[in-house]
Amino acid sequence: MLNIVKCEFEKLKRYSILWTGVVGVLVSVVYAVLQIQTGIGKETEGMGFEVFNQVVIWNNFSLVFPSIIMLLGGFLINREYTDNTLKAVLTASVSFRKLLFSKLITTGILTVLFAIFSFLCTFIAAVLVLHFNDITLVLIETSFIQICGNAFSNFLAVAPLIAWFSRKQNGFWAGVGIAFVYGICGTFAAGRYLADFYPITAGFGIIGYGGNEGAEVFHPIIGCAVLALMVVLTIVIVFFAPPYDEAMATPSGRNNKKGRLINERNHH
Amino acid sequence: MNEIIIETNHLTKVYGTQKSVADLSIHVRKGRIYGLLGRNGAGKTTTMRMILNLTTPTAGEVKIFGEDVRKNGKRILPRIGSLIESPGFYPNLTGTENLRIFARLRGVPNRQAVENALGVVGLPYQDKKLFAEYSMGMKQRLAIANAIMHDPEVLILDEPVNGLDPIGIAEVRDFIKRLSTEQGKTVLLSSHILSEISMLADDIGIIDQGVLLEEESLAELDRKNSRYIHLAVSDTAQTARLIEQSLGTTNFHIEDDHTLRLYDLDIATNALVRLLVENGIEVFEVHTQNNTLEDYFKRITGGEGIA
Ligand SMILES: Nc1ncnc2c1ncn2[C@@H]1O[C@H](COP(=O)(O)OP(=O)(O)OP(=O)(O)O)[C@@H](O)[C@H]1O
Ligand SMILES: [Mg+2]
Repeated sequence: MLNIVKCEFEKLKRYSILWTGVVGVLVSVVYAVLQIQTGIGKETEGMGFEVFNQVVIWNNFSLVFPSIIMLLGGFLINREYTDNTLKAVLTASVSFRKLLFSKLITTGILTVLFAIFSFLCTFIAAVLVLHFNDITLVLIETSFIQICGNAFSNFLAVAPLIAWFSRKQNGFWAGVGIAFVYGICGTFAAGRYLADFYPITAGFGIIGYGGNEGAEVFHPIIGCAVLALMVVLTIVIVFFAPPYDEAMATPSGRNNKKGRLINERNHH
Repeated sequence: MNEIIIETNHLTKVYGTQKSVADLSIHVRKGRIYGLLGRNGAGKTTTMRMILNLTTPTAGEVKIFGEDVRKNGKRILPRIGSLIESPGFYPNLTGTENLRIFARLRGVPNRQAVENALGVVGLPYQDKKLFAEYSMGMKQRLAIANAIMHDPEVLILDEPVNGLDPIGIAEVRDFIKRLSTEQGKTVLLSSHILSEISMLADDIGIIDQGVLLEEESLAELDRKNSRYIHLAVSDTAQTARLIEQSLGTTNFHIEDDHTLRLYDLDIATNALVRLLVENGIEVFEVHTQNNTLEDYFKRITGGEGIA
């Protein structure tokens, strides 16, 4: 499995889809900066690094990470269909299940990498743009853990979607749309004391989101259980992945026709 | 005498209402090149996909090295190198990077394997060119390199010379031939070009609309299809004796009591008929058969020619 994950990273070389992640992370931070600068409705003073950090996390889970994780995971899997490489992978004796798990692990690692990038952007924006002077080492550490933890729990929440929409070529595009709505709905869940139960926000309790000011009290136990359920769900979906020819079914006809035309052109 | 390496038993694949492969039983023997010949859409690729466990058969089974592919794929697949339909690789990577990935997936221990395989198909090692920028022939070569990189015992090649230029075709042909003769590898290849198969294969399976029409050694097919004088006479045993004694040739074959095939075409028909009649043999029929393998293929597929 480790071998396959290593291969996944090699396959990412010169792969432009990664830039959507970079852009997404930047958008989230820039938006947070604007929100802070315009005062998000309430009193502007007293807003420091801690609040900024929370705004970034809010933007991350509601706008950026779920759809980007879905997009990345979906693309990673879908390219094996569209580049017609799945047959070569399968005949190299790597099972479809193993490949899917490896893709999911790779997506998880990428999510954390993007989260670290998000943290760096947050920190840089806090220092260079917003000129906060309340930044302490403890706050930096908290910010790092919370941004990464939030992103990773977003990944766990989206993982079943990635697994599900990988069953058909190009199916993941629908998944990206759903993941986006899934993320947005997290804002409603969080406002109605449902955060613990809603997968996207289930990590709040675990990462200690909300700090002292949070009106809600989150339950890490429930959050953990919900995220664990997501993991189990993902494993079940991957386990019952359809055989290669069914997954390839729709497009293969089209590919065949194309191949046949090429054949004919060559031999007439 | 010859161990069977790949065997399909009543292999069938139904897509919707169409039987793409129907009750196909082929036998690929060790160290031989088996050519699967069929027109476009005959079911060659579908058969090979089922052999490689990429497609689930509707019925029937595939045995490789005597084991069921569906159950023991993990054990069998590493011993096979394959190339199915159009080559698929990662477009954002170079040829070398692509092969390195598959070498790693296969756990190929030999660090030189990628370089060697590229050398064999005539592609540069560590070239900067991305797969997306490859020409059709280069893609095909890379796919062949990927099939042989791990030094498999068996090669399954679907239209291996597709897209190659004439020199490339000759190179690949020689190379496949050498794999078989020098290294004793077993090869199953498919083509819709008869000449390609007849130049390479030891054994031939002719498939049409999913059905195996014929499975024979090339030598046997050649015998069936070479030019010969067809003779229908009252007594073949006596005819044979006469031909041997008076015309000095044994290059004929007695088909049954009344028909005989004379492969020595230097013999003049009129002299032959006179000889037989003078010796009291009745001659009912004499004609020269000019069948080539191509005619045979056309006839057997009921077709209008080779697509
Ligand atoms: N995934 C699929 N779904 C439906 N029909 C299919 C599928 N794959 C193949 N077929 C059908 O099965 C038949 C055999 O196709 P196959 O690709 O095996 O032919 P082939 O002998 O390889 O032809 P070619 O020389 O053109 O490569 C065709 O009629 C094709 O349309
Ligand atoms: Mg084919």
